[in-house]
Amino acid sequence: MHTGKRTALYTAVILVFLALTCFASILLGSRRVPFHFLIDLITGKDRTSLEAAVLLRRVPRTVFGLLAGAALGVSGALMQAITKNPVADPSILGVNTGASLFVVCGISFLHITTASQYIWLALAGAGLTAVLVYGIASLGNGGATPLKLVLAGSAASVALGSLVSTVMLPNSNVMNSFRFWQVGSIGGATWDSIMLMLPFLAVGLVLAFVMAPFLNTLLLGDEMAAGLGVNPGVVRGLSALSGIVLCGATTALAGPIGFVGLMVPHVLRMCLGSDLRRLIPLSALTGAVLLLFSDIIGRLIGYPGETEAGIVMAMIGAPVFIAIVRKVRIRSL
Amino acid sequence: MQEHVLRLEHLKTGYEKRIISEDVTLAIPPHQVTVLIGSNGCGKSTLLKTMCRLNPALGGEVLLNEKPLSAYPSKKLARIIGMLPQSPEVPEGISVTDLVSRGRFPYRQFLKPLSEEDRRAVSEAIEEMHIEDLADRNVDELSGGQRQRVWIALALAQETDILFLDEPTTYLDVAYQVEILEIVRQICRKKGITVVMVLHDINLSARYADYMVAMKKGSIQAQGTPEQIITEQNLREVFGLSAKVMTDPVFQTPMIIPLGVDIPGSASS
Repeated sequence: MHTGKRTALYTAVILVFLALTCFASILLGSRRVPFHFLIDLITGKDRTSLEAAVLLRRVPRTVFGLLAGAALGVSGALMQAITKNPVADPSILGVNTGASLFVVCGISFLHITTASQYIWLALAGAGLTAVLVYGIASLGNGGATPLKLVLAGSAASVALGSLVSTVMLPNSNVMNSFRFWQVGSIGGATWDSIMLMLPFLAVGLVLAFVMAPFLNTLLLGDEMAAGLGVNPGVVRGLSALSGIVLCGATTALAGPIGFVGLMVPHVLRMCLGSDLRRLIPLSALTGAVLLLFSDIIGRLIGYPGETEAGIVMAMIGAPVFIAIVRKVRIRSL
Repeated sequence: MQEHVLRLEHLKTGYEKRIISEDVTLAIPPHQVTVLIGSNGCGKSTLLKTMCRLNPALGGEVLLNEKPLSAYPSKKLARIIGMLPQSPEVPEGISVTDLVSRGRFPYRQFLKPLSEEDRRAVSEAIEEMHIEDLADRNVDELSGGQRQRVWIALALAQETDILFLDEPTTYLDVAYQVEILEIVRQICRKKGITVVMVLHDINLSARYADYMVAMKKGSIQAQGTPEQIITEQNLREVFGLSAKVMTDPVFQTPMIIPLGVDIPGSASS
C-alpha cells in the first residue's frame, strides 16, 4: 500500500482508539460506575451525583495520561532522529537519571514531599544533565555527533545512576518515598500538576513540529543537510532541547516511564517511513493512546487496587514490541 | 539565469589541527565541467567541501560573484550552490520521489506543501536522470547505480547554478560510471550550469572534463584542458605513476596506460 494512504488509514484508526481509551479511562477504575452515568455526565443531565463526581475525578488523570504519552512519543521520535539510533529512547541522553538524582537528593537532604517540588527538581536535574551531556559530546572534532551524544548520554546515565543509589540506599525512608516516584505512574495527577507541566509541553511540542522538516534533511547526513542550507548543529541542539523538555517535564510528574518513547516511534517508522512531519504528530497520538491504555489495564489487573502504568507498559510492551519488530523485519526480507 | 562566478583566493583548507592546503588560488570556469584529480589524501575532497562551505575556510576566501561565501545567508546559498557528498545517508522507508523532493528544501516555506514550481523541478530532475520507472519505489530497494542516479536527481531538483559532486562514480560498475558522467555532461551543456567534481578514473576524467585541476599534497600542480594536464610528466609528478599517454582513437581525448609505480627498491622501471 502507498505510504500516504497507509498514513491516512492509520491516522483514522488511532483517532478512533484515542476516543475509545478516553471513554474507558473515565469509566473504568476501582470504583465501578454504570455506563449511563457517563452519558448523563457528557450530556449535562447529571453532574452532581456521587457517581458523576467519581467520573469527574478521573478526568485529570486521563488528560495527564494523554499529555504524558504524547510528550514521551514525540520525545522518542526526536531522540531517534537526532542520534540516528532506531532504538534510542527519550532517556538516552541521561535525562531520566539526572531527574532521578535531583529528586532523590531533594527527598533525602531537603525533605521534599509534594509533587510540585518534585517537578522543579526533576526538571532542573533533567536540564542540567542534558547540558552536561551535550557539552561533553560537543568536545573535539565535528561537534555533537550522533555517536558522541549516545556515548556521553550512556556514560552520564551510569555515573548518575550510581550516585542515585549512593544517596538512596543508606536511608530506608528516602527509598520508600522515592520508589513511588521511580515506578512511573500517572495516578497522582491533578489539575494543578497538569497546569504546571503544560507550558513545558506546549513549548516542547511546538518546537518539535517546527524542527521536523529540518530534522528530515539531517537524516540525509550532515553534509547533505549543510548543502541544503541547514546548520546541523543548531537543528540537533534545538531538537534535543525539545526532546529533553518533553521527557523531563513528564518524568518530573510521573516518574520515569519507559518504553513508550522507544516503541512508538520505532514501530511507526518501520511501517510509515521516517518522514518526521508525519512521524512526530503520529507518535504523539499513538503515545497518548498507549500510555492511557496501559494505565487502564493497570487499574483492571490490580483491582481493587492499581498497578502502575509504567509497570504495565513494560510488561505488555516488551513482548508486543518484539513480536512487531520480528514480523516487520521478516516481511521486509 | 544570472551568471555565478566562483573563485578561490589564497584559500587555506583543513581542520583545526591539520592544515591540508596552505594557499590555493583557482578560478572555476563557468558553464563547464571541471574535474579535480590527485592521489588519495591530496586534499581534493577537502577543497571541494570548503568551496561549498561544508568546511570553513581557515584563511583566504572563497568568492562567489566577488563576495565571500560567508556573506550569503545559507538558504540563499543553497539555491546557488548544490553539493552531493560522497556518502549521503538514505532515510528508512523513503520513496524515490520523496527523496528527490528533499532537494527543494531551500525553496520551501514553512508548513506549505510542495508548490507547483517544486513539483515541476522534481519531475524534471527525475526525467533527466531517467528514473521515472523507479519514482514510486523505496530507495532501500535500489542498487548502487540506481541510488546514485536518485541522489543526483536530488541535487538537480535543487536547481543550483553551480553543482559539486564528490566522487559520484565511486563503487559503481563501469557502465554506470559512464552513464552518470554522460548525463552530468549533458545537463551541464543543456542548462549551462557549472559542474565541479572529484574523480579517480583518469581516462573517464579526460573524456568528460572541459577543465582539469591536478592536485598534489594540498596544492595545485597543474590546471588546464585534459590535453594539457594528462601528460606523462604530470602523471609522474602527481601520482608517482609512470604511464604511457596516447590519444583515444574514438574520442580523441588523452588516454593513459599505467606502466608502474615508482616504489623505492623495486626492480620495475
